[in-house]
Amino acid sequence: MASEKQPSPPPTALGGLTVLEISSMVSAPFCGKLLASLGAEVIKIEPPKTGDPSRRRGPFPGDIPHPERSGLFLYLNTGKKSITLDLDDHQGQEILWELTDKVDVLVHDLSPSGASRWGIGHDRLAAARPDLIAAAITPYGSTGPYSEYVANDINIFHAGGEGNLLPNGLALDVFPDRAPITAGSMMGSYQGGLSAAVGIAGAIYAKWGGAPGQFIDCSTQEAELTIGYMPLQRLESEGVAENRFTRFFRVGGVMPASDGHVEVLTLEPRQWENLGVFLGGPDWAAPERFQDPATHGAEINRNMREWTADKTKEWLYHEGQAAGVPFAPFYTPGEVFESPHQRERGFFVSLDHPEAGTYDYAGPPFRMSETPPVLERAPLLGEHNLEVLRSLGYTGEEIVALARSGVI
Amino acid sequence: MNDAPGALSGIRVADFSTHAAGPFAGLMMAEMGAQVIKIESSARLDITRRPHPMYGKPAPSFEQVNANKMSACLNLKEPRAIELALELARVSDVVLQSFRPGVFDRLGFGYEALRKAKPDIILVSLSSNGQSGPEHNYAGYAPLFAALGGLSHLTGYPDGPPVELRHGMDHTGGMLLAFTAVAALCAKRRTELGQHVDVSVRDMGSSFIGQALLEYAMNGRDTKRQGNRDDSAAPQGVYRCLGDDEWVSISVGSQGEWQGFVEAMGRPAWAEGDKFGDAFRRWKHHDELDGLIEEWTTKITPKDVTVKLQQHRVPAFPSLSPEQLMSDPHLEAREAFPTITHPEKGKLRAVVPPWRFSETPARIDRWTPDLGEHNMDVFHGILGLPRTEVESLENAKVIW
Repeated sequence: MASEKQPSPPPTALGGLTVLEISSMVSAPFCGKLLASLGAEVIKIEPPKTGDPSRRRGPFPGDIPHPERSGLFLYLNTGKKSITLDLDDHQGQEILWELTDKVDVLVHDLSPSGASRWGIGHDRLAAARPDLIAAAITPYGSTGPYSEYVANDINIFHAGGEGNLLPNGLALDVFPDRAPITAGSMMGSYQGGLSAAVGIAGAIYAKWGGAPGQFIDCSTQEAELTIGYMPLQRLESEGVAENRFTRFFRVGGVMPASDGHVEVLTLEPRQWENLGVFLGGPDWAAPERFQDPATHGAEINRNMREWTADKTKEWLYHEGQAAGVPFAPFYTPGEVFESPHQRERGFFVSLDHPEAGTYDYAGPPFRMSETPPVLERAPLLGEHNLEVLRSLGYTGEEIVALARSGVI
Repeated sequence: MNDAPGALSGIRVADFSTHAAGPFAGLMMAEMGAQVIKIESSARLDITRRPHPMYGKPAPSFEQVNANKMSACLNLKEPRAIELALELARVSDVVLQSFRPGVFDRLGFGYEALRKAKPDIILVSLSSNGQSGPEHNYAGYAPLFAALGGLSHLTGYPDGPPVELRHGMDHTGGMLLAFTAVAALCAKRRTELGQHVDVSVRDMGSSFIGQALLEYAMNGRDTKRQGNRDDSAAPQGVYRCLGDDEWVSISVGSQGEWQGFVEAMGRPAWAEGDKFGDAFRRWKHHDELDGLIEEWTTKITPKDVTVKLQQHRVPAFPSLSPEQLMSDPHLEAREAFPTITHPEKGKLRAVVPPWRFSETPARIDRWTPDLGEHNMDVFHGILGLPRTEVESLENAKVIW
């Protein structure tokens, strides 16, 4: 056998664990992706024919929409299996119920009524599946007056506090009258998925130590509150209500460069001193001025913006860092993609997909020396129907009949 | 209240990290029941113990980010302190650190030294750029690694500069760090192996823009920042409402949601015509549409807009300020701000852990300890040094 010569792959942190995922768009899929990167077998249930809405969102190669070539889906569903199941259909719900008996973890993004409608409400699971870890990742949590509210990323980001406090600094100086803003790339949804993954990993760890299965109510709003607790704590402990007009760096922040923008931030006295030297030692950047940013910050920033404006991002970044001043360029996605640093660290991983083609994907943002994370391509819609249904004991004829009747 | 043990009960974490990101990981683990010992020193006060360069006094972040922890001092410039740090590692499951790459090794307890002290130790290292690569030694704070990772480029008004992202980025990095630490604990349960985990928060920023990186890989094109808009919903935006600086977020993705939206507005004539009849036209005439929507929203409060739209299953929610969040009825019903008693300030509310476990409850119940508050508990109680030795090491500025 050829495999005798190949070293066996290193173990993974969650190898052997099975996860069932009912999800759409970003939060729950990102959570499932993180678990898959630790070696868990993640089976994603998608609606027949259309699949996860992220399959329609793009970006698409050559701008030609195709459900197997959407960048958002391809990225957020790496390493998973896909089965199609009509969960509004009674037989579809029956198969879902059977699957909940075969897996270790269920991750879904359904409201309490949505979960009950499909037969996987918390009470039923707690009674019949005591070993299962079930996590609901929802915008506002599974209890409380807003538990049935619908939300997209923008709503959650503004429900969690951070949205109301953005932008600040230069962007607000330029457009002081505009609406508060949403972080790009559906960041709030990513944060919700990541936060839920921490709780699920904790529950898995506890279960492997003898704890029972359990239900985890993961509110993305509360993940946002935890991550953005600082203005809440300021209000509570000091009575200071921050808003986007008061919340900016008096010295530093976003500076123009000849080819974009850079960030500079000096939090330590030695960094102020280094910055003064880096700027050529002008009077306006004398160290004592940095000690009183409330008085001198605006003047320092005005002069510094003039000074940086004719220099390139890369020059300011590398020369600034060499001088002991924390500078960083605002990189475009393309600049991230080409970044020598991240390339050398092997952050990008080439994945081949039978329908989408071969591209370099952003890899896991962490290294583990003994159980390295894994990255494999996203599944085709329903690619694993046969395999998963067979494992439940369905015969070939039954599977054909299920497909014919639109259940799968 | 369920007082069952937390998911990480029995785990001990030696947290050498400073600033916001690493300590936040320790907080997440402490909320899940781990015993987290913050190792700090008067010789190098954590930024949150000092007057903050922006706020002018010790930062309020310390009230929460080091909650639930113990505080023990070690002056790592002293060889004896390094020995004690290794002793502590020997009785810990996880070591967290966020020094500039290389510093931990130079201090004498890099991964190899730790492994010698405890073969199955889990060392989790957090840095801006990772432990390797040409820029590993560069300094980084949240706004810097958000900029480097590409996330900030996508944040902001389309015709304005990129927007810096701040504490949220630190804490998201801490969340990722906690994920990897618990993952390593799971791996240890299965394989009995400890390991070294290397988390780059710059990579984390990039991992949050995976679809934009694929857009570049596929089409050689940079995704642009879109303000409050998104490709998958039109109209979508944050709209001005009745009141001073009051706003509501609205996102209309499907045709059904659009019909609900028109209904909720009371079927204005402009909304019923062909001009905005399908998603493509709404996307095409988005600016005009925004103006018409704002004519409606500016007459009512964000809450009223939300209630009307949610009745028709249209995603909408107010853009809440800190004060509004802390008095929100839903969050109150979920007890999202539990009260903790603070020795000097009395009762203060904290932010609840982001998971409600039915069997292994997470909790936040003790405020940040004073510097070195648990020196005796840690060095005498856990490591077994005689009390007199702890005292003399305090006097010698080793435990300091």
